[in-house]
Amino acid sequence: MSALPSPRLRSAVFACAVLLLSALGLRRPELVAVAAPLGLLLVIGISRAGAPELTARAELSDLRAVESDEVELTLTLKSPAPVAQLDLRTLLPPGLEPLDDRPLGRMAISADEPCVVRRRYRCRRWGGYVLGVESALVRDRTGLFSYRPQLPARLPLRVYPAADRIRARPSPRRTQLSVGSDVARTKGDGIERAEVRPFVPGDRVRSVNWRTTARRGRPYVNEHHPERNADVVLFIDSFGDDQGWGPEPLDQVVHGAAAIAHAYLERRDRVGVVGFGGVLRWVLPAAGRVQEHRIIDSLIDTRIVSSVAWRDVDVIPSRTLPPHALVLALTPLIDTRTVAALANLRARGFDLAVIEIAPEPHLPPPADDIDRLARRLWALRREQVRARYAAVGMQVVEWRREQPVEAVLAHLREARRWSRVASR
Amino acid sequence: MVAGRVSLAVALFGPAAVAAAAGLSAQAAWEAPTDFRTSIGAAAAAACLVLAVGIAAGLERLVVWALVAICGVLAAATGLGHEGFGLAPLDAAALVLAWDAGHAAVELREPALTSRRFAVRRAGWSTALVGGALLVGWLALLPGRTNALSGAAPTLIGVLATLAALLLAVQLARRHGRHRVS
Repeated sequence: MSALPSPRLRSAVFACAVLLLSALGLRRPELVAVAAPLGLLLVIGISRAGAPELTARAELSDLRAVESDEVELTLTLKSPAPVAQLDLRTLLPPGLEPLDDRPLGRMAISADEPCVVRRRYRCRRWGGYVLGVESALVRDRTGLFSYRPQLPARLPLRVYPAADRIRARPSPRRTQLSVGSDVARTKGDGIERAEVRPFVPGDRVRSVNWRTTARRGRPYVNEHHPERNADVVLFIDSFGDDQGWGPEPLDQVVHGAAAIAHAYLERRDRVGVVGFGGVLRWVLPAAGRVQEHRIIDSLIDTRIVSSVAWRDVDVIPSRTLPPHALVLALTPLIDTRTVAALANLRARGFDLAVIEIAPEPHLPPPADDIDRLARRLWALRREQVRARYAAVGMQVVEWRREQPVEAVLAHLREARRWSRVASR
Repeated sequence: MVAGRVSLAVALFGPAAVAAAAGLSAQAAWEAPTDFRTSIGAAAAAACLVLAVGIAAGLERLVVWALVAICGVLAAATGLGHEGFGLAPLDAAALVLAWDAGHAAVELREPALTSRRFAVRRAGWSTALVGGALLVGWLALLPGRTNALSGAAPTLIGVLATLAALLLAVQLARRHGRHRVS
């Protein structure tokens, strides 16, 4: 760390030089008396100048928070020598709102006495942030030199999206082998009755339906549907461009995906995530609370990245899309790469449903007739994509910004109930 | 921590610096002969104006040159005027006050959460500087008043002062060189 000469030093040197040279030239000793205090200050300041040995430690009240939570950053600064003035600027990430109105703190530190600085933030938007010291400027007692110590006191903070509670979610068409909450189409041990059929050798006595047996005069047994779990893959479209599909719709996607993941994981289903966009991300399907954290961690790292590279489902690792999984795509159906990838998935036999993030509410109102015409053409084109999807048995439901995600899922459930019949 | 405001720092230090500079300039104009009083006064007023603009706009470069200009005006007025040592300690105190408060007004311009300890120490330091400047100015004039120094003694002091100035220049050059290398 090097000393930076401050403007104070320059002005003191120049003022002393002017006064002392004038005193010499004009033979007026009183000018020496005028310059003497500044000169003495220069001598003292330069002789005592030295880099401060400042150390800083950062602590966060929570390393993980949910939107609208408050977190407190505590910075503890210590120096073996007194620090006359420390200007400490803390990082101010865009998704956090500082509850103290100023990011800059100005303080003096006594020798070996810890100085504690506290800053409170309200988490406004989900995301991964770094909190801590942005920069520090130390001025010595005379102010002639300043120093910029490197204080590596930074901590990561992850803010999770505040997810809505979802009670009813769309069931997958096929279930997996593990025990879960979805009624399987197959027959086996379970609670939900499937049918009553005549007894055959090998049936268990406890399965006998005594009422039917008594009425028909020959033994009948009950058959049940087993409760099984399902694999659900959230397919998140994060393709975007600088013009329209930006952070606001992504907020909607992340909140929705977090709520859907929570709803499925709560019912012992396995959930995975595929972030399909400029940067491909995935989380392999798994169950449990840890998986929920994994998924949300992956979601909050999702960013809109402009990309012109062609991507297809081939780039997605095969284990990410297990057989018989329900693929729930959250997409604005804007990017042709996503549209093609979803059609490809459907063609491969995946149970696919699309939640279309309506992009119109996120766009500014049309400025003129050309804009209006372009919007209409765009809407027609998207309508055509929807019709194409419906023709191959995919359900597309629109999610407008003002709608709760539960209402959208309820709509999707209904659509899937009828489309199942239609697709047979 | 107490909430400091930009207006508070500028409101405290800015007027103090401009007032000290104005006092120093007025004294310089008053010391100047009648023929030069207008021109000295105009130059001093211009320097004070530059200082005020520098403080108000947060341009520390202007503060530096305004202080240097005020020193130049003072030197010119002293050179043109009659001999008199009486007000030199006051001039020194006013110069130090203008220097410290002028720079402080710019340095503390940005709004910050200022700790009480820092505010108290800063005020104490400024007061001590002004008091110290009065004392040093008075002490610097003491040998001349008492005629204690004559003959080789002033020459010796001059040589020592020159050596000190050279040492200062070397120190500055070293620091500057270190900074550039790093």
